[in-house]
Amino acid sequence: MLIPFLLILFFCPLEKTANAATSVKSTLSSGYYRDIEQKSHIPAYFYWDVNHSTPHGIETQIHIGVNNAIVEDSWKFFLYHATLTIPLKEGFEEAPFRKSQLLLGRQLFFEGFELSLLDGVQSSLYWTPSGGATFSAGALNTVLRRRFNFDSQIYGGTLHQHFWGALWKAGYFYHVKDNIDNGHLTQFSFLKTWDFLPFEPMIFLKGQMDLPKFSLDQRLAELQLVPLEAFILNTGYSQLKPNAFAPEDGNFIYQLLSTTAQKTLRASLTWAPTRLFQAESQYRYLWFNSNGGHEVAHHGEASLSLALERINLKTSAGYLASYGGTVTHGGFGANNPLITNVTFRSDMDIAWIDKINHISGWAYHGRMGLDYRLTKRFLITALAEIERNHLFEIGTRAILYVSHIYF
Amino acid sequence: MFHTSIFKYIYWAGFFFSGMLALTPFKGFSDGPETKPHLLFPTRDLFSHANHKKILTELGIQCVDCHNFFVKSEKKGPLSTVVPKSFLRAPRHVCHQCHFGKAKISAPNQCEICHTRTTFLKPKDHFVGWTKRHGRISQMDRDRCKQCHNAPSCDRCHLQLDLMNPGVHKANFRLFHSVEARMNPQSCVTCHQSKSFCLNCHFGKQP
Repeated sequence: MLIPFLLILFFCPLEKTANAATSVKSTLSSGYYRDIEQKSHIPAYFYWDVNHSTPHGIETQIHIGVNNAIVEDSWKFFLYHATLTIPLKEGFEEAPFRKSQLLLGRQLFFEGFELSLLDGVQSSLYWTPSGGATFSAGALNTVLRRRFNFDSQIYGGTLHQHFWGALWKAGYFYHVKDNIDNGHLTQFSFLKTWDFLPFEPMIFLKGQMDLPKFSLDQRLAELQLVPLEAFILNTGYSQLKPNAFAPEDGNFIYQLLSTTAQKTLRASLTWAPTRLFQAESQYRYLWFNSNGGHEVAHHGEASLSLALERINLKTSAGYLASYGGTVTHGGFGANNPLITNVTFRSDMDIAWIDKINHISGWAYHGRMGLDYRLTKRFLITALAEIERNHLFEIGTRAILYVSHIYF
Repeated sequence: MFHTSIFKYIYWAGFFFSGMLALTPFKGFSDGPETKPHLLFPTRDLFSHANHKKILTELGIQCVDCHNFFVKSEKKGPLSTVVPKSFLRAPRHVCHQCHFGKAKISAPNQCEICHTRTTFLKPKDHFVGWTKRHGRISQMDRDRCKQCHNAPSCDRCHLQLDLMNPGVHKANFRLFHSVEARMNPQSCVTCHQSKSFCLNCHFGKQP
């Protein structure tokens, strides 16, 4: 596998296209709280994001995290992303971001309906700004997995092209699990907007087929209309299954709750007259079968977002009902810059929870604090959190964030 | 009883929405603020000549490439009126000449080092149910996202653990996650793919 890539590296014409640049950002977050047994906890999370580009456009991106429960002295190290990007061809004048390149290392794999961690190689190739291909090969791991595991592997790619005013995409992936053929999946997508028609309809279709079984396992259809200026109606139907490429116990939670594909009908209406104000309401109806029988669920939510000259305000209210119970909640959040480098943040939420295990009651949650910009690239956020619910008469938490963009 | 409570909800929702509509002609909704760059600090504090000296020399950027020295006083001679300093300031968008070109650093740090309110930089489609739709749109055209985001942008919500202040889930989610899991199990396994994630709390490993 490695030799062909080294050959490509050797022959690819790397021209000096930019100056070397390094960008580093770190974030430390920590806090203090006591659990229901009055035990103290001080979790700490440290994230480090390094990006380096050479004058020839070779880019190294590393994103790591260290997590520690200080009281228990339990350390965990996470390698979220570590890639070497080798440019094969620069982007186009009208679309400079459409570059042909090779990505080697740990990265996210998101094709079709899946999202996994990939330890391997992905490549994007463009022949025009409106057409190209992607290829992927490597071992898949579940998100949040810390160990390398090469038991589950995929090989395949997709082709995408704009024609007849639409974006078309099709792909094929071969999945190997424990060195055994575990499936052949083919995918297709279609996206088209008719700007010149009344209501400016947009249609998005997507499907994934298990080739040996010749069954359309996952599918999605979305229709978007603009009935009035600034009003957008988006409706959709989806039939989803858990990740077909998930290694080991990756679908454990899904299999615990559902035995069939999950089907969803969804509609949302957005009113966005400007970037400064949006109102959105949405409703979802979901159904699937579980070990207990047929389950249906409803979810409705309305939200408002308002950005004034200085203040950001958000508010939302929602209702959800499932086999597990019902929840009605509402809340708001606000960001208000007090002076140039100090911003006041607050949010609160109230929920009425009625669960199948006979736990019911009000739950209150509030959080407020300050963002203090010590220098232009050094931000400190200190928050205090208070909650009241069936577990805590009054529960409090202290949260601290220190974020720094070095350069 | 049921109908009374429904009407009560509708009444309060109507009251709330009409209140928000009454606010719409407020100062904030004019077109003005949308065009403002919303910088962390004024440009004179954001840009440091000393820090940029090396890169400007490497790129062969001259003073006149950014500053317009062609502004002259109306009066001639040594006692003429001094040209206001603000006239010599580089225009706002001059930073982008390099930062979107040969001195490009990693997104989104590129934007965040100067701009504080990314709301004003978002494309229009990000305002339509974007939290729920962004995944399928990015799967359709992944390189379009790279204009403003890089891999850690995805990691921040999909991979990073931050149990103190989870950015994805709502407040009180810990208390009603079972209701949502029974509603939409597919959504859980997008990120929580490990068996141990449930067991850690439900079998007492983590409080």
